[in-house]
Amino acid sequence: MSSLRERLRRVRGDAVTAPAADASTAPGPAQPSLAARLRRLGAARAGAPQPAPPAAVTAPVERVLDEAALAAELGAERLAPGVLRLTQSRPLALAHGRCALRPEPAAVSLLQPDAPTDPRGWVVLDTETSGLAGGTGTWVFVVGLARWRDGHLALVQYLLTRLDAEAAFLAQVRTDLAAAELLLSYNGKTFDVPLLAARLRLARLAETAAHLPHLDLLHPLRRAFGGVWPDCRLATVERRLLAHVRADDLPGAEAPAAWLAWLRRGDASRLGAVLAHNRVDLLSVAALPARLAAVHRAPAAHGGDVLRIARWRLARGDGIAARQLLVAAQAETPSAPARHLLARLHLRAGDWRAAVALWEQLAAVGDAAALEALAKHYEHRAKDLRRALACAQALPPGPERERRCRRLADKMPGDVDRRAIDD
Amino acid sequence: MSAIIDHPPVAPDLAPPAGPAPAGAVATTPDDDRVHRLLRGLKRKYGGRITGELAMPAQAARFTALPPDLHPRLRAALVARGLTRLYAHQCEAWDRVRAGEHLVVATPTASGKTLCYNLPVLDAVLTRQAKALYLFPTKALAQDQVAELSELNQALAGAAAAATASVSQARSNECAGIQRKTGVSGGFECGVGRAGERGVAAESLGIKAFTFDGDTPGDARKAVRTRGDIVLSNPDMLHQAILPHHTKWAQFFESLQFIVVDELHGYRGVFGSHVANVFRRLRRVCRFYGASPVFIFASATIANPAALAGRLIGAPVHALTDSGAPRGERHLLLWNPPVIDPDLGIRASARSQTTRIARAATRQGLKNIVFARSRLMVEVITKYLKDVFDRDPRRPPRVLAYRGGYLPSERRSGERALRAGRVDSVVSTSALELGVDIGALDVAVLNGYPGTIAATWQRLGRAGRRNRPSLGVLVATSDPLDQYMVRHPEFFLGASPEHARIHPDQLLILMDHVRCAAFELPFRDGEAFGDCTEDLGEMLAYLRDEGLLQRTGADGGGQWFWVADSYPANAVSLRSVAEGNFVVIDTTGGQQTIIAEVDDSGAPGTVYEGAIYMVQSQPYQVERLDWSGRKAYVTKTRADYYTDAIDYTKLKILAEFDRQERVPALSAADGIGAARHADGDAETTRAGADAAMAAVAQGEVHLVRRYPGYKKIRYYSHDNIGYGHIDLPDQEMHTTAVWWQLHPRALARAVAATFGSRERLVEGFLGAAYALHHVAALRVMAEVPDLGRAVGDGQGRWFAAIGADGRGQLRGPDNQPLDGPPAGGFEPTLFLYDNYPGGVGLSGPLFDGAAVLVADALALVRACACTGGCPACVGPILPGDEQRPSSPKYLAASVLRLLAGHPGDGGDRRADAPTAAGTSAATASRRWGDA
Repeated sequence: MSSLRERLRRVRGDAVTAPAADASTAPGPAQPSLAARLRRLGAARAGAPQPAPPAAVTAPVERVLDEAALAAELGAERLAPGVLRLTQSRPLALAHGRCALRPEPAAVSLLQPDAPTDPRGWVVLDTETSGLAGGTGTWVFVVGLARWRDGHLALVQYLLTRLDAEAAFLAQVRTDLAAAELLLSYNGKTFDVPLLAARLRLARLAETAAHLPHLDLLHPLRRAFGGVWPDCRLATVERRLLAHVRADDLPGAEAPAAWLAWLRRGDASRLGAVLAHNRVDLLSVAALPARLAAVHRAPAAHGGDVLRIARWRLARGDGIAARQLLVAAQAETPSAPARHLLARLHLRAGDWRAAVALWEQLAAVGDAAALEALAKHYEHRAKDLRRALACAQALPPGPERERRCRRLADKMPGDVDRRAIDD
Repeated sequence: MSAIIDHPPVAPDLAPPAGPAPAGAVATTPDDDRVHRLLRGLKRKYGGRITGELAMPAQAARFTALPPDLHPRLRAALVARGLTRLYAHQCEAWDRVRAGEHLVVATPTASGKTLCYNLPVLDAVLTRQAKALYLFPTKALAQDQVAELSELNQALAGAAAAATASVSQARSNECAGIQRKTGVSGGFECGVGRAGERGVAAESLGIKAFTFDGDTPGDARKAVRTRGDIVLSNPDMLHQAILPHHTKWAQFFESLQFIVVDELHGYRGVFGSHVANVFRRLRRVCRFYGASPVFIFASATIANPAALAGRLIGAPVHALTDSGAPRGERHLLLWNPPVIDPDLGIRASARSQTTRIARAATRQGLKNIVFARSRLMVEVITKYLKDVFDRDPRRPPRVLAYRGGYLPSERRSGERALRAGRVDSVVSTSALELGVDIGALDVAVLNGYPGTIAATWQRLGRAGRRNRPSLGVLVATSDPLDQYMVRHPEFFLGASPEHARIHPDQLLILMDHVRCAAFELPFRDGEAFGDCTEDLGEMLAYLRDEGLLQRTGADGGGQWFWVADSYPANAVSLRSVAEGNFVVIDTTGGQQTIIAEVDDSGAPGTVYEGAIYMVQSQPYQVERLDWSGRKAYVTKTRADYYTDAIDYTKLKILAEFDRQERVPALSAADGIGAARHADGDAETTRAGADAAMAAVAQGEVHLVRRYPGYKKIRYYSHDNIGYGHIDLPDQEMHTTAVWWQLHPRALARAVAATFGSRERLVEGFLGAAYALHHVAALRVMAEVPDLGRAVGDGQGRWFAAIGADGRGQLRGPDNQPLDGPPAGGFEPTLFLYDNYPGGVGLSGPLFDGAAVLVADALALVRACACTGGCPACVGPILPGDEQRPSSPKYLAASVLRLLAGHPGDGGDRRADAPTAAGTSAATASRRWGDA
């Protein structure tokens, strides 16, 4: 091992950068810098990502602010060095897009049955982070919270302005969340809450929020529109469902760079925009439960995915509501799986005529499952063996068709042209 | 009825069986007779080919009682499995681990290493809810170990239940039976202990051992993190999934008391250097959670287990090397294929001898394993054995190929077939060197010296695991190293295994992991990164300048925080310095099926368009290589040939770190004079600089490797039946090297007096490089492919290669043949380079030992029995060349003498007298032993 150490010493101490041709000359400059050594080795690492320094690093900074000036400019209070809090109030009377911001306990209960019904315990949560990579190297630098109070929505945003103030920042957030009974978020279950948990661990603070009931609105939204819309980004949701169009919005993807610009150079020019972006996120999440509940009550009317919502209803034990949803959507020529589900629900409700009508529609276009259901229906319930056989014969070739046809043929001896069965 | 007791019921080899030692009983089984019969037969028929023999008598066991403070339930479980005492070393391991010492257990194969770590770990899990992380180099080994733990756990459950009513017994067995099916991701969980369920609940155990690897489904991972007592994983997962998400593992880390690292000997070179850094990160994270786990390593025999383990974790580690386990009688033969052309020194191929021995063993009913050094050779030997034993496709195959690059499912099914005893002969690369459980084998045949003594014993150890007599045969190839070994059996038989080396401070590797560590936890000013000797502050500042880190706080009290939006561990592969495996896709019949993987460095030489690529000796031809997409499309073929790529390497010196001149030796009798100078004080060499003959230097080089074409080689005859063209981008690498040059004055004199022409001189350089390369691999205890060799001018203007006509040629920067060196200085340079990007510390020791190296190479060439040069000394030569006035052997020896600082030529023009050669070789071998 000592020889390796020895070699390292030599590599570092006596390195000669001159080419070998004049290697016999005196030793050159003392020690190449780490950067120079890495640059030389870099040739071999063409595949490895070399994060280029952000282009903005060299851009001139218009105004360099200190933290106090930043707080003043944002209209925030300075809770501790590195921790700013911005408080705003939004009258509920004011619409967000074309949506009201009133709390809707019925809507929330529909989407999250275990949710407490008193809106005073609800907290909307949205964070801004230093990136999407995940793991312990991703920071939460804005925590935005919104709560319903008399006549208004109270918005509180915490901004971390110094890396070494994270513990104080998180302690504030914890205190603020202590009374929360329900979280509302968009993708918070997967992203914001685990990330906060990681940050709290790193700061050696006890976990919070992780065990609260949590209505992550991404899930009902995916249910309703995941198969319908090209994507489920919050901006898409706002445009299509809330009729809200963001003006002068800083795209969320630029938030990390805006924060880094502040950390590196005191360039606060875009931090205000990040906070504004976060506030819009909070308002949209606050407005979403009412809209999504409406979609879940009448998916067809909103262009939502009737089948998935009906299935969800069924999974929650509400077959009646599922059937109603599907019946209401019947005018829209529902998909084959939707018709099958409705037929099943009809059957379950004892309305086999309605079920047969649906199967007949499907069988007319050669749907094998419908043919099989009809064959069973005619054989066992309607006792119409001839029609049962006709359905069975229309089944795609295979053992199932053969078995069924034979059994039917056996039940009605002499009555059938057997060749029709065997072909 | 003797055949029925073919496989006597022996206890599992992890610990001694209860009752009287069975050694006497085993000695009379028919297997013994068969091994001895094979041995007698080989010696009678082929006595002339056996150059060395070693017989190791059976060794009796040394036992101790179970430790008195063992947890009662663990004791009960061991007793229930028939383990009422321990081997001496297992007991010592227990004592040392209990005392909090880091430990490495380096005892032979099948000596019960597993229990050395399982015992203290299971005891701690039972007594104080400790958690343990087990690391295995591969997923498969981790899964093997879960099965092993599962058995113990079931014995625990069984023992617990036995203490209560028989009704409970039945239930617990039933429960044990279903555990492996219901466990998470190949893990097991003893669910016997559901609270409130009669007396069983209190008595039974809930030791939960889970594997955590790339196959663990997302929804099972949380259970592993929060509920696993023992988590079995691999270094790659630790690096990419566990450490960067350590907060999710907080509970686990808070109780982490043991880290078990099995197959320590595999943690060397690039991989070991990476893992040492992963352990630096792991220990940092453990400190964050207030844990300081004990490391327990298990290793095959290497020379420096304690030093290697200590270097891996940056802390002292105690080595336990004295095994108390019994061993069966073992025989080892060193085998040199017969000479078939005495003039050219050409011997029969090792392959032919290896297949002959494997055939004999298989016919005698002895289970055998053949180790080959390349994947290609595995496939060729498998084909030859299958041609004999697997001619009937309706019967289950008796011969199996096993190597890296096969899909895991195929390897698993191969392992199962081996364990079940359905395979009579398995042909493998080093892939089966590791502790994959393949059951008992009787004979191991090594086709060629594996490159290190440690690997040789590791492979030989595959035979005779279960206290039965066994036979190992090392068949020498025509490689110089093999020939040296087999002709100097005392070297191999008397030598200790090598040192495994790692180089954790290799700059590229180190920077990769400092980056990952900074992501995991912020660095504080003044913090160290393990025992890293580089300036951490400078590295952190570099990362800050890259935009990855942000420093806050006052001088001395600052912290370095990760601020970039990236996940650095994803960009770092522990297995290589380059990334991106190639997949081999079979498109036969319009389907697209992935049949194998080839790593980045191996791809250009194996899956070029036109290549024959073999899987289980089924040949496929590469139709198309998608270089950027990392895919090779192949179809099945019936070709009667295989292919072998030709590669050329050119080097350019970037920086010279160190240089030593060679002055004419005072005593010119052999190389010792030069060696003495090199080892003596530097002033002597400096003073003699005016008279310098040659110089050796080390530094950094830029290397370009090109694959211009390939040879088609017919099966059985091994005739070269054609060439193909390879069209691939150049492979570039930056690494460290050691190189030799002649002083211009000495060069001019030598060309005029000794060589006659520059072409002859270059030929001498090529031969000298060949000999030096092989001797050097031995010196630095690396394998031959870990080093590369080249002859060129150091500026990349020309380099030398053996052309298709078998003669040394000069080639220009674009591989075009040159008539002579370009105008300007003619400065032939002989390079040995570290064959890993950035280097892994191989060239330093070569530079330090350069003088001895040249002397050894000279001894190798002189001592060779050939007349004019052969593959065992200076490389293959052309028919008739040995008759030339200046044979390749003479030219190479002359160059080596010049490099050693001797004026004059290589002695006798034809060859040195063999008698004189003998003495100098003996001298060289003594020096190796001393060094």
